[in-house]
Amino acid sequence: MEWGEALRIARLLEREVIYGTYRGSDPSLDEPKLARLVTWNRALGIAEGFASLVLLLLMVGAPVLLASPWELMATTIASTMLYNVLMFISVLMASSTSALSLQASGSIKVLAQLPLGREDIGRVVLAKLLRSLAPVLLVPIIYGAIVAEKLWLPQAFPLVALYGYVDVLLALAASLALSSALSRRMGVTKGLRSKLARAFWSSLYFTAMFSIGLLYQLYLCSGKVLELIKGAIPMLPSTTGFIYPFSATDCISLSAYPLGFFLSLLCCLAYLMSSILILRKAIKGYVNTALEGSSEAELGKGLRKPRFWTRCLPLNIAIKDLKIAVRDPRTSYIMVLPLFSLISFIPALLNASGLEELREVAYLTCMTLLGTGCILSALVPYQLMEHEGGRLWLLFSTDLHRRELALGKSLATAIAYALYAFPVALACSAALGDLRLVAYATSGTMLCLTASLMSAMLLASGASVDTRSFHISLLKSLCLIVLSAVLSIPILGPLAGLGEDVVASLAVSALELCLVLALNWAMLGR
Amino acid sequence: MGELVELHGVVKKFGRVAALRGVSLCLRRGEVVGLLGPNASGKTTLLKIIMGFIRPDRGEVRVLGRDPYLDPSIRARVGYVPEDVLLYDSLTVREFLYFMGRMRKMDPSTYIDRARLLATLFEIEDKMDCLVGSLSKGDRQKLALISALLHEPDVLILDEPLASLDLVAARVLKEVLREIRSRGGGVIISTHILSLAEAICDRIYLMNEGLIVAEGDLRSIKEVVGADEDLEEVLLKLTKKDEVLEALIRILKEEF
Repeated sequence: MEWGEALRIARLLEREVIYGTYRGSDPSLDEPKLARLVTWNRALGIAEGFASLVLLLLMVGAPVLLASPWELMATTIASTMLYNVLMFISVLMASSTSALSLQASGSIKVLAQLPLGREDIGRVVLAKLLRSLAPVLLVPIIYGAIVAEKLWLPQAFPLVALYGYVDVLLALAASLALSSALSRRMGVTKGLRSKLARAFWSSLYFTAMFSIGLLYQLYLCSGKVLELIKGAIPMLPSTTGFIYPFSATDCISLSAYPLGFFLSLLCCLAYLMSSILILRKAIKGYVNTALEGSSEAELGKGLRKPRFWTRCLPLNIAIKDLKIAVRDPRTSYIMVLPLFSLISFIPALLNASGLEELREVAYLTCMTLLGTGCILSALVPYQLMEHEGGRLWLLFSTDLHRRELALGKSLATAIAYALYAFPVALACSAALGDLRLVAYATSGTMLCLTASLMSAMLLASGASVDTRSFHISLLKSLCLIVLSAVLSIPILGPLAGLGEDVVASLAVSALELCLVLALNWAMLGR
Repeated sequence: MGELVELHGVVKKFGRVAALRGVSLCLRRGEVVGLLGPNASGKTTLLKIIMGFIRPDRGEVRVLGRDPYLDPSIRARVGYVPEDVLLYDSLTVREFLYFMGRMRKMDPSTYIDRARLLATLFEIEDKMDCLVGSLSKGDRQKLALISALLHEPDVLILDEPLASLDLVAARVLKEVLREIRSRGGGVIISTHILSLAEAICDRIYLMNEGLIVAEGDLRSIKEVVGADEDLEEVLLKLTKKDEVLEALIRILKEEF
């Protein structure tokens, strides 16, 4: 199959998603209206893609452009590390979501009915994923040009750009491989062994998401160890310049020398070829799993009395969502994304010079985690509702209010937040001998519930039995994040050093929560 | 005694498409009513209006004496299974049934006995630890039916219930429907399977292009077009598809 044909089919699949998004709220959706919506959504998608491109470039390119000459190299190295991490994580997240929705919607099984081979279907899947990433794929070229121009090293351009594409290809491969693995695990449920196997694959998913960040942090921490080794063996060459992902940053300084540039280029091309091969294998596995389905499960015992029973509908929905989140992390990875902020503090924690500095870093680590969790909590209900698409008939055929649906989604978000916020806060509080952090965790949980409820109310108000998918635009996401940030002032204020009144923080958080609960009750009927 | 379900002059348009053009229907206690008709005749829209998912543009709808759109609490006494059954693939069968029982606010001991009975009747009692996503299409359909029957509804609304069911399950379903009827409940089934309509339905509503073109018991409908016709021929004649079918068969013979 030609790439043009694959892209054409990918455009068709996108149209399906748009139809599924609007069908529920507009049953009179006809072909002319759909065509207009498709055009509008495509234009919006392109605008959002370029907004993401600008955002990424601001985060990684701006520091390099604005750096002074004496700190240029250090800034460029740090920005390039961030560039590699962001490219990997953003592509992994976006492609995981697309891969899951392709599988869940059954689009691949529909394609199987056409006279297409598995390679052709794989090409369509890749075309679909790349279309959703399109403008972001320009980041490596633009950032490479920025680095080359600023450092007066034109030979750095191909290295930086190519490593960016290595990150993209590996992230695509990781998301597809993990999607296949998670789907294959679907049939296994009985016993401790199967539970451990499921926990392993779910953990692997998150580890993959944080992997490059973790590796870089370990690399920064290993500086002292490497120095000791180099001191003992002076002639020991540095090999990190050729080990991915460290080579992606070290190649910049190496490119200043002809031999260094040549070796770095060879290394980069080798990683690029390897990543293409890995991606091809991952696509093959993904298509095979999607077409063949999961294996038949082990049979088990009959129905027994449940250990836990409640008639609280929002709590039931929350428990159901958390179970699904644990078993299929692709449905709700934003819930645990704030934990990534912990990774960035590892070097600071390990390199703290004294007890006082350690206390400060521990405090900052915990408050950053709490604050990030609150800010991102507005996006979690969107992911949870995305998974409900097509299954809302189950909920609406019972006596469920929309406000209970919204509350259920926000409870799931808040419970997940509390599950990581309190242990971290308790550990830091014990280390600091200060219970303020536990109080802030309580405040953060209430704020998380507030922000996620605002978002869930918006989603629930437009949901109907016929809604197949939910769409939230980048602009809406940014607005929700800004709203969450404003609501989270009781946490963000102390983080920024603007007053540390714990009682005030708790009081304001409780007040915000009561107001939003009242709003939910008043505004959302059945 | 009031009807379980009453519709009077219901009209529903989606843009320029008139899905329902003045439909009146009733379901009495102890009755199974069949809704038959070709594709796009308005059957699914009608069922969604009865469930209160969609508001009609005109007309009156009453389920157990109440408007289902304005008072969705009535769904606590109604069971519903749509044509496209999507369930929570990541939950086990047991967890899914627990979840539906809790959502129905049932007492756990009542619920467990009921779920156990239905799981045995539909032969999935040994699949409690299976993830829903690993079940066959037929088993998922059975699970959806169980979830609709758990709370012993007074009214059961089924859209193409026999799709994907095996012979035994189909037979069990027919017996379940007879049981509901004998207890004074009511069932509305939308189906293409004429043998089901003939075997179980007390009355049939025949729909075509958003209108009821015939209603009554099977004998009276057959008398409209000719006493010797089977139900398939009756349907084709009343929906004026018999001439269309003849033309299509001619094309098939000449050009296929």
